[in-house]
Amino acid sequence: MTSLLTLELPLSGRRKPAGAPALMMVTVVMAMFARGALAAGASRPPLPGTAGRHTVIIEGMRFHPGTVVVRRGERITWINRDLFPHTVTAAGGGFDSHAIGPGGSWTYVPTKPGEYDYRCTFHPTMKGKVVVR
Amino acid sequence: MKRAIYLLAAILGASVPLAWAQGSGPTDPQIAAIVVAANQVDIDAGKLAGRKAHAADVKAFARRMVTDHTAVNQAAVDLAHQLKLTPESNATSESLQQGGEQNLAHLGKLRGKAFDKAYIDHEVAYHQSVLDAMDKVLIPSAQNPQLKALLVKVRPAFVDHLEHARHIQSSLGGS
Repeated sequence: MTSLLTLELPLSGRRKPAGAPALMMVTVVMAMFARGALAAGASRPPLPGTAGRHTVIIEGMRFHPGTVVVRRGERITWINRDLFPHTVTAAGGGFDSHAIGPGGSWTYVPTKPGEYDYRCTFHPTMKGKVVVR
Repeated sequence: MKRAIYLLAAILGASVPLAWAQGSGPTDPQIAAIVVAANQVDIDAGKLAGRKAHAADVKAFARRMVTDHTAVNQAAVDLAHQLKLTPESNATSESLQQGGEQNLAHLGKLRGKAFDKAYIDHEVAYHQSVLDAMDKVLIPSAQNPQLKALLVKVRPAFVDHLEHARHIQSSLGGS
């Protein structure tokens, strides 16, 4: 617990260059988050910024973020904010959303660890990566 | 044939950016007409190529052009309605239409691999010239923020299409 807190402090300090009271509040929130997460995740604390659900936004013919790192069993949802249909298709097989229409979404729960490059089969310049730990 | 392609590229490439070189840029109603004409030209060519193309990747590209450019046009028409903006035909939109008709007439005479090459060569020139027009004329000239935002939003699609067309062009044996 202590090590987690000291790890989070400088991060929150950098992201929020505010005065001492704000920093203290952030610290308290972080402490509560860390305790709850530890209790739920038993011996495995979650990766920073994750809580078992991940979102990839498809916009401007790009995947944001380009690389998403997850634990197996966690959910990844791609949300298409473009005017065009897109796909999320693993280059070496494994997963394929088929067409996700404008405004639509697709959720995938990876079960096998590994690194998976994926692309939109409709638009060859669109590439992304899923890292499953 | 090479001369014809060069001519088409020249028509598209030169007239779009240069039509507004002197004086002020196009108005929003004129921009709307240019956007609709530019997309319609590529939809029409894509429909023809969807039927006539020889190679599977050219056919798939053509169908993608129809889907994507139809979506852009729908968004442009919806926005024009919302803004009560009536597209106003102008020299640039007319030259785009004319270039599109010439392209269709040219493609209509070709078959097989010659058709694929001519269609893709034209797609490369077309997307390059539309991107140039967007960057140099359309986006900087757009007054309404929503119209400007729509142009900015769809720009990456033209970049993807250009790269896609260039990739197919190189696989077909260059220009």
